[in-house]
Amino acid sequence: MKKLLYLLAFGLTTTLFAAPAPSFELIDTEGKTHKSSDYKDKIIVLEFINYACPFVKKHYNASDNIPNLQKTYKDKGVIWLSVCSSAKGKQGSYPLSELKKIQTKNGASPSAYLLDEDGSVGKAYGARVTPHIFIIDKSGNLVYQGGIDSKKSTKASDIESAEPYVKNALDELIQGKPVSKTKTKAYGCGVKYAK
Amino acid sequence: MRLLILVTLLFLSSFSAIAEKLVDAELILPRNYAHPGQIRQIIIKVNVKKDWHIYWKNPGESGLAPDFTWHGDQYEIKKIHWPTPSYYENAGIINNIYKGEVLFIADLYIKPGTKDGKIDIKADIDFLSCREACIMQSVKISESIMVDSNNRIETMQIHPLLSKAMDLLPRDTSNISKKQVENKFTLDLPKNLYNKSLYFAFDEDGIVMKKSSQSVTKFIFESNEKSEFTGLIISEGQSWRISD
Repeated sequence: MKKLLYLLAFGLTTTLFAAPAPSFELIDTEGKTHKSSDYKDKIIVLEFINYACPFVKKHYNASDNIPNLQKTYKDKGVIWLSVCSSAKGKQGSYPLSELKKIQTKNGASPSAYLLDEDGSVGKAYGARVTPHIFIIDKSGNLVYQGGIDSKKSTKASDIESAEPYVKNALDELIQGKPVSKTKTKAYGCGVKYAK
Repeated sequence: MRLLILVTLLFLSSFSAIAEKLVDAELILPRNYAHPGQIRQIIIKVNVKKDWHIYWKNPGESGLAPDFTWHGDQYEIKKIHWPTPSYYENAGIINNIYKGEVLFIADLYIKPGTKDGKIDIKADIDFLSCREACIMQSVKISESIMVDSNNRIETMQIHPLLSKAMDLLPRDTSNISKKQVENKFTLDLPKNLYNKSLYFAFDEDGIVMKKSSQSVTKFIFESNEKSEFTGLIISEGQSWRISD
């Protein structure tokens, strides 16, 4: 009983103190608009991305780690949005034809790939690096922000022994539990914002 | 004709490989001999291509510190001494970086019992080099040192590059009073830092948020995350160590 009360209190506390996520409205590569309000009652992953960044390549080309997470959690109803906040002409910003080729090669399969060329959404969330992950729960609260995992490196061989922060947070949310680690240190290349 | 095309392609591909070399490094031994059980200071001289940078041990909000992997059973690298980094800000993201020539000093320890003769000191260094883009590059360095158990008479003269590298290291400070309340830090400055433009680089996690304030005698700043109060006060390319 005591344990149940503790869990309820802990869940209530994290719910009460989780801040509403900044709203967003971005277009995808097909020109379709995606608003945060379109995904009410869904768990959303915002993954700030730059496919040329060595830290991103670690989790795509060298390991399939993020493509596997995308597939696994999309199957469980999670909306996975990759957001590119690179300014036009900077690393990570690609013409559509090149982007498609890269995604075919690196196995990326997000629910959508969103363009944030002016960096307004990235800055609203405080995205500093790629990959930088933000998770929004079904109530629209920001319940996780930080790294994909705990090992700050560009080596794919480190993934297995790293603590998989995003996987753990998503598993907890899907099981209806509060996220135990709500903020972790993100690592990666700086987001290539317009100055 | 086919041969000409092939040669041109080979030339172009080798040219592009050279053009892509963003970081180079070499190992320099100020003294080329040591006896078993001795610690010798050696230099890792790095050159970073113009307009590009590499990172300090705490890279800041993004980036990655160079990663040194040493190979060999007869020696250990006890410590790497990192020279003073520079503050760098790009689109609001703050880093601690190096540009141009960078001189690291490493403490090379020859293990007791190592037999007399030449041994190879070898390392692979992984650098994340960034400008607008970031690219990972690996550089191999190697040099041989003579292990000699006979005691040699040594001159006191210091190798000029070692002397230069030592000048770029943080200096020790004494009697600096410091105070930390959560993420807010206060330093009572020594007289030599009065009225200077200052920056603080945390040894491990965190960077100083922009809103720092400075009076003649005090430097007050906040970190963006939970940070230990150890690191460097940096001013005009020199730095002073703040320890526990």
